[in-house]
Amino acid sequence: MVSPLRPPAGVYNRRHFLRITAAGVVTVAAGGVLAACDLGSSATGTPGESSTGAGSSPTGGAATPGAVGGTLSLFTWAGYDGKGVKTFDDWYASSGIELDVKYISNENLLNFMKSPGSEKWDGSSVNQGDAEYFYAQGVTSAITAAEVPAFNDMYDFFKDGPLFKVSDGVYNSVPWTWGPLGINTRPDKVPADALRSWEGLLDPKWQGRIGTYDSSLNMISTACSATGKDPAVLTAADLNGPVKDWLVRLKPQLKVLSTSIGDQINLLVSGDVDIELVGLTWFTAQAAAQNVVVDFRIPDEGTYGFVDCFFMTPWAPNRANAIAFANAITSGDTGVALLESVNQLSTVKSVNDNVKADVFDAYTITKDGVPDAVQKLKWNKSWYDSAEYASIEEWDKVWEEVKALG
Amino acid sequence: MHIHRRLEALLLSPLGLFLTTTVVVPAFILFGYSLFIWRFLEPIGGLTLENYLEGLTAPVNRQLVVNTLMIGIPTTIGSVVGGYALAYYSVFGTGRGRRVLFALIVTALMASYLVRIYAWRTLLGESGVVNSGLQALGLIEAPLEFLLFSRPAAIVAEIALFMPLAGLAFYAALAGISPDYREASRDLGAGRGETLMRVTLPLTGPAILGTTALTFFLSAGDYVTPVLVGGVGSSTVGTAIATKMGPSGDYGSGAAESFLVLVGFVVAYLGLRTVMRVARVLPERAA
Repeated sequence: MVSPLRPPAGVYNRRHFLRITAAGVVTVAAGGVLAACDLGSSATGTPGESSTGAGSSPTGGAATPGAVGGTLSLFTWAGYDGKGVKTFDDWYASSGIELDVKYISNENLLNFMKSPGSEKWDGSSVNQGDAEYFYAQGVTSAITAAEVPAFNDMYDFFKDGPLFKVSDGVYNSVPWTWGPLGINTRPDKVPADALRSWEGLLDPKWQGRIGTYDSSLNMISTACSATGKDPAVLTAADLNGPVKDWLVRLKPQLKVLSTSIGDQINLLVSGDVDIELVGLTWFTAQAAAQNVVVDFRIPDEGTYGFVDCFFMTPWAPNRANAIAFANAITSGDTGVALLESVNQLSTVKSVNDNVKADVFDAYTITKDGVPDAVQKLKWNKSWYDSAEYASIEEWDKVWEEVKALG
Repeated sequence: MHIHRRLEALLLSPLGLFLTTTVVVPAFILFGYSLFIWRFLEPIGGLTLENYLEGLTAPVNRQLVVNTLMIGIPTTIGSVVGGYALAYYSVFGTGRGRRVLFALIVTALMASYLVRIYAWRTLLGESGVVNSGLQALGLIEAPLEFLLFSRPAAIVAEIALFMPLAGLAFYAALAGISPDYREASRDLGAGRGETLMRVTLPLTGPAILGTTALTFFLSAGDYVTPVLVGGVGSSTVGTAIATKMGPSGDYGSGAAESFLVLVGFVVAYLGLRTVMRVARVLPERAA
């Protein structure tokens, strides 16, 4: 007689199935845990170099450049690839470069670059705050003034500043455009006199009328400007004290957190918000193209700045094209055309000499005023190995805590 | 009739291989991640449960759970009740519109998820269709700001996403009920309401349990809708995990919280099953 609880040989019951599944899961789990245990190597499959940085040689172990032409694979931000700018499109055509571009936010860049599949990318954009951090993480290669001669014509801050310079003539990236980060407003709803300071953002009349970019780097830098702290040397005590307090006070004023600059512009244009933080001069040009007037203002307390850089990956399959692109954005008609299209200034004197006056007007400076304007700005920096200053991880944590507030 | 063991194994192996590759392996790699502290996209130190402890004790996570429930529970109730009503009418209704209604449910599922969310922006924005219409009719002077970028907006958008899904599941369950049961109920003197409560609902109890759980899991785990239409007060467990697994690169913490959420889902499922059994909506041995 066969027990009703035990099926005959050759027939599965649920218990058999669960046993086999459990055995399979244990086998697979062992693989997963072992993979995560592999501490000696990059668990996310970083192509190219190790996390010790790329600075051991002038070219950081990068691939030898070949001839210009063929594919250029760019991770970058919308508007920074030159696509649709006639002079730049012509340059692509005459160089024989075919652009393969993917737009990505600053916040996701490192994660993507360190993940499997990033081998195809030749270069990307990076903010000055992350330039040295990315270099230390091994996703950017060193680049020399011999490869990009425009370095020799840059203002001193960009040529010799510690944010970009690895050693004499060697850099972690190519800083090519800079500007102040301020406040964009709809002047029909926010008259110039009605909002002149960061502190003014806390006025109840702006409650629920402000949008901002969802980024710890930018929001904490904004709070630093409002509280008189320098984001480049922000301590954990200041971060968790006055800076966080200011963000907590700002939170009820905010209506929406955008995940892209394009979204910020759309919200201003549609009228869903009257004020956008982490504002750029670029917004005014983009809004004007949609027949909406948006202004840019720098609060009385002063502000911090951005320097956007182009970097090449150590594993760039088309390094020659990436170098050609770096030269195109930092020199000649191509550089001027690209900067005018985004309404921003160059880090290179000779390029700024040819940029139209409207762009300087947007910055409220003269052509000779660049060095002074740069000196007045503060600059954020993603610390990752400092015992003295709050790390970017701590910045992230504070911003997430503020966001979670009900 | 028993299927021979070898034949059964042969038939199940492609599905088993697929599920192992796409679900079991990633889940256990993720579990491996959760047992380490990560700094700058690299695991450091030895095996630890610190991520789980922090996930359970950090005050910010309690607030995120509250935010998640404030969106997830109304979304689930709205989707399940609305989906059931749509499906009920589509199956048992007598009007011509029931076929059109079913077609609309299916059509709604065909549209892209992101497009449907962005459509809400077009509808509910300050210069959107609703506000413009109300202003044109003279019903309001200024746009209604709360329509978009608020928690109610996230709930409405998620109900619009998940109600067709729930409706389709309920349609399949209701269509499988033999008309004899409902006729017998009426022959015994039960009205429509009593037939619904004592016959139809219990017969679809397993579908209600499954669909409610599915809708709640989808809503509670959604990290796109709260960001795009929920406004600044809609950070949820899902959005926080997405940030940790993305921009922050804190894989350990993100993975641990994913497993804690999974445990929470199992508890919620068991709790719902018990409640439904007590309420006699679910047969004792079903599900």
